[in-house]
Amino acid sequence: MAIKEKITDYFDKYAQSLNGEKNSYLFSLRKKSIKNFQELGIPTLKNEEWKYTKLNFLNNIDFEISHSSIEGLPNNINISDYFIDNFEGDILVFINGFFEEKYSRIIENKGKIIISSLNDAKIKHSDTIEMYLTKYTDENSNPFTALNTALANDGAVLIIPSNFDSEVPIHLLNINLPLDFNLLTNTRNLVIFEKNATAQLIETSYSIGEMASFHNSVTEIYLKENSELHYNKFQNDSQKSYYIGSTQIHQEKNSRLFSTTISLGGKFIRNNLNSILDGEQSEAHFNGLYFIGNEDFIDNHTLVDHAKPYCDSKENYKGIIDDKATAVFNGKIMVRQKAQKTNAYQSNKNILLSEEATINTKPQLEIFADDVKCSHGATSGYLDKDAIFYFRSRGIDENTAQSYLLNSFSSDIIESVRNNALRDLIKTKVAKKLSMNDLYFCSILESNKI
Amino acid sequence: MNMQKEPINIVDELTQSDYKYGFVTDIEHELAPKGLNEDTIRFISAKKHEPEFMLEWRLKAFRFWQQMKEPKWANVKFPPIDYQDAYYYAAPKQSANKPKSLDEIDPEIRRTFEKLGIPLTEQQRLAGIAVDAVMDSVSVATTFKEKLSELGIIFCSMSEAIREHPDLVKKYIGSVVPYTDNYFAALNSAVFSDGSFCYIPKGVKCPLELSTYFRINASETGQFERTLIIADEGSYVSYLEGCTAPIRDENQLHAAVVELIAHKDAEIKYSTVQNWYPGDKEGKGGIYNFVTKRGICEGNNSKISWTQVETGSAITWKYPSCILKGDNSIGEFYSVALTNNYQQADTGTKMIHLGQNTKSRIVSKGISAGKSQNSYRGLVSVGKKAMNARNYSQCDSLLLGDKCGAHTFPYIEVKNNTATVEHEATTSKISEDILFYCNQRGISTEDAIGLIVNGFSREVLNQLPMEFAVEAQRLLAISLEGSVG
Repeated sequence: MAIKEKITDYFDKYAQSLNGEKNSYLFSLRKKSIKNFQELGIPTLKNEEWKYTKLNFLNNIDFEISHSSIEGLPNNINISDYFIDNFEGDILVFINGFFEEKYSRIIENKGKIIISSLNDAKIKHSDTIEMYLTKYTDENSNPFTALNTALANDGAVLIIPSNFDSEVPIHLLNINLPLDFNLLTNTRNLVIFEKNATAQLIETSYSIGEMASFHNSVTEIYLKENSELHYNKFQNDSQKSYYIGSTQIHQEKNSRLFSTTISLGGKFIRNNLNSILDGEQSEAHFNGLYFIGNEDFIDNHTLVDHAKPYCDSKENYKGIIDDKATAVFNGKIMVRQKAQKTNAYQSNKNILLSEEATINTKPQLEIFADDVKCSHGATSGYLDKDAIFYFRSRGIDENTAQSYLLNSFSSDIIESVRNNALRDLIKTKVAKKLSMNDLYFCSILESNKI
Repeated sequence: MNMQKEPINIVDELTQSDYKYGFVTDIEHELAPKGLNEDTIRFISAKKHEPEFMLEWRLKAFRFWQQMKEPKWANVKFPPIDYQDAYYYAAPKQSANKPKSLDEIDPEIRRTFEKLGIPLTEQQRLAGIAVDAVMDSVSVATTFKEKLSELGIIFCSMSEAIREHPDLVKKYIGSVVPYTDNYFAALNSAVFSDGSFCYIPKGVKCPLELSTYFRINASETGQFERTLIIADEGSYVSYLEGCTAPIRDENQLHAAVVELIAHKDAEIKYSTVQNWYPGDKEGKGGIYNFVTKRGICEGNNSKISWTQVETGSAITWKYPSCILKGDNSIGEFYSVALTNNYQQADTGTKMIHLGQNTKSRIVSKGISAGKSQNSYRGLVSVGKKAMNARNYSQCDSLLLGDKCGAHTFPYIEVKNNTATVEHEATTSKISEDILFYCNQRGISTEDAIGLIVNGFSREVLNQLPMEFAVEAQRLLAISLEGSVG
C-alpha cells in the first residue's frame, strides 16, 4: 500500500479506537492535520521547498507506523550507550516514539521545571497544549508537520518557569528500534520558556536494527520576553535511518536563541529550522555543520522571519561532503515591512572532498523594509592547494594537512556548542572522521581545556 | 529632521517623473485577426512568404504550447493574460514590399525613430552604429547593410534571413532555446513575426556596433520578436538592443526569444537597454516583458557577455543565460534593474558550466523605489565534467523608500569538487551617514542620491559600449529625475 493510503488507513482505525478523546481539542487538531496531509501529499521535486530532496524512500520502503511502546529491550541493546559521555543533565528517552521513564534520567531539573511527556500533558496540561500547539507551525504547507500533528503519540512537554537559569541541559533522546519491520515514528515536542528563563536543550535521534527507520519529529519552542535558549541537534545515525525534523521557534522581545545543528551521518536527513523574531531586540544565531560521506543525503532548510524592528540574526552553515553524498542548504531571511533596523547575515560554505559529491545551495533574501542591513554569501570549493603546499613544504603529509584544514574549517561551528560533554563528543567523532592520529586528537582536546 | 525627510521627497519626485517615450505614432497598421489559432500562425507565415519548414516548426511549437500551462513560480503578480484577446501580428502599412532604400521609409516612421534618437539615415555616420529598427512586429529599416556585407557579415531582419538564408536559420533556430523550453518561448516560436538576424563569418571582427531598436506602437498587440546571432570561429560582435513603447492603459505582452551561438574563439557582447513603458504611478498599463535569452559558448575559448539596464516594463521576467559548453569558455552577466511605482522585476541569469576551465561572473545591481518589487533569481550550475570551473556572483540591492521590496534567490548546484563558486549579496538603503557626508561637503541631497545610485551601478554601466553607456546613464537620470542635477 502506498504510504499516503497507509497513513489514512491508520488514522481511521485510530479514530475509531478513541472513546472520550474524540471531543478533545487535540483530536480536532489531528483531524484538520490529516486532511492537510492528504491534500498536500508527498512533495515532488517540483515543489520549490523540496526541489533537491528526493523522497523516493517513502515509496520504496514499506513502513509500519509505530503504535505502541515496547515491552522490553532485546538483551544486546543498552540504552545508556546512546547517552553522551560525561553528560551531566537530564535525559528523556523515547523509544519508538513513546516516552520511557525507566530508561530516562531526570534528576537535576526535577521539580524545578515541568517535564512531562505529551501523553501525560494531554490531561495534566491541556490548557498549555490548547494555547500553544500548532500556533506557528507550517501545518498548511508542510505535509510532514501535518502528518506529525495527526499521528504523534508522544513527545516532550517542557515548561521552563520565569527567572529559571540553569546550565544543566535537557537531552531529548529518541531511539527507533526497527527490529522486525521498517518503522515510522512521529514525536512532537513542545517547549515553553517563560520570561527571563534560560536553559539548554539537546535533541538526538538514533535507530538500532537491521530494518529502516523513519523518524518524523516536530519541536515547537516559545521564547517569552528576555528568555534564552541554547539549542543543539546532533545527528550521527546509521545507513538505515531516515529523518525529517522541524523546529519552529517563536521569539518575543529581547529573547535570544543560539542554535547549532551538527550532522555527521544518516541516510536521509532533512532539518527545518524556522524562527520568527516577533519582538524587538530579539536575536537568533543559527550555526550548522554537516560532514557526510557514503551516499548520505542532508538537507538543511532554515527560515529567519524578521517580523519586528531592531532584531539581529546571524546564520553560519558549513559543509564537508565526501564520497557520493549530497548536501542541500536552503536558507531564507525574510524581513517584513515593519522590521526596520534589521541586521541579518547568512553564510553557507561548502567543501567537496570527492568527485562524486554534490552540493545544492540556495541562500535567499526577501526584504520588504528599507532601513536594513542584510547580506548573505555562499561558496563551494575544494581545499586551498596553496595551503596544502604550505603544510607539505614543512614536512606534513597531504592527509594530515587536509585534516588540519578541515578541522579548522569546522571548528568555529563546533565551538558554538555550549555543552562541554556534547562538544567533546562531536570533536571525537569529527576527529575520527578526519582519521586524525591520537597525538593530534589529544592536542585538540588539550587546547580545548585552555 | 530635515535631513531625514528630504530623501523621501526625492523618492516622491522620482515617482512622479514621466515616461518620455510614451507618444503614439499615427500610422496605419496591418493587423492579423485578433486571437490565436493555427490560422493566425498560417497567416503570419504566409505574410512573410516563409518556406514550408518554418511554418511546420511554428505549428509544432503552437501545438506544444497549447498543452503547456503558464508558469507561476516567479515572484511577480499579474492578472491572468487572455491570449485570445490580442493581435499577434501588427505591421506598419507600407508600400507592398520592404523599401529598397532608406529614403522610401514612411516619413512618419522615420520621424518616430528620430524622436527616439535612433538615426535611420546613413548620413549620420558619426553615430557609427548599424541599426535594425523593428516597429511592432516588423523590421522597418536596417542601416549600413552594404558596408557590413562587404565583410561577409549578414545583418538583416529575421524574415529576410528566413527567405534569403534558410540554411543558416534552419540550422540554428531553436538550437539554444527549443520551443519546448518554456511557455513563452513556445508561444514566441509559434507566432514570432520578426526580429534581427546576424551572422559573423570566421575571423571577422565586426567594425560597427550592431543594434536593434524595438518599438511597440499599435495597441492591443503583443510583440514577439526573435533574435539570432551566430559568431563563427574567431569572430567578434557587439550587439545592442533598445526598446520603448507608448503610454497605454492596457498591459501589452512582449515575449521575445534571443539566441546567441559563439563558436571557437568567438566573442559576443550583448547589451540591452530596456525601457518599455512601465505603467503609470498607479500601476496601470505597461508592458509585460517575458523574455527568454540564452547563449551557448559552443566552441573552446569562446565568450558571451550579457549587459542589461532594465528600467522599463510593468513586469520584467527574464534570465539571460550562458551555457558554457566549450572548454575555457567565459560567461558574463552584468545587470542594473531599477524598479519604481508598481513595477515588478524578476530577473537574473543562469550560468551552466559544462566544459573544463569555464569561468563565469555575475554582477547584479537592483534598485527598488516606490511600491516596486525587485528580485534577483540566478542559477550557477557546475556539471560533473566541468573541471576547475570558476564562478563569482555578486548581487547588491539598494532600497529607496519603505514600501518596496528587494529579494534574492540564488541557486547554486555543484557536482564537481574542483569547482570554486562564490556568491555574495547585500541589501541596504542609502545610509544617512553617507548623505550627511556628502551634505557636509556641500553636495545637495539630490545630487548625493544621484551620485550614490550612479556609483552603485557603475560597475555595470562601464560594461556598456560607449554610445549606450550615455543612453543608459540618461535613462537612470530620467528615472531618478529630480534627484540628479
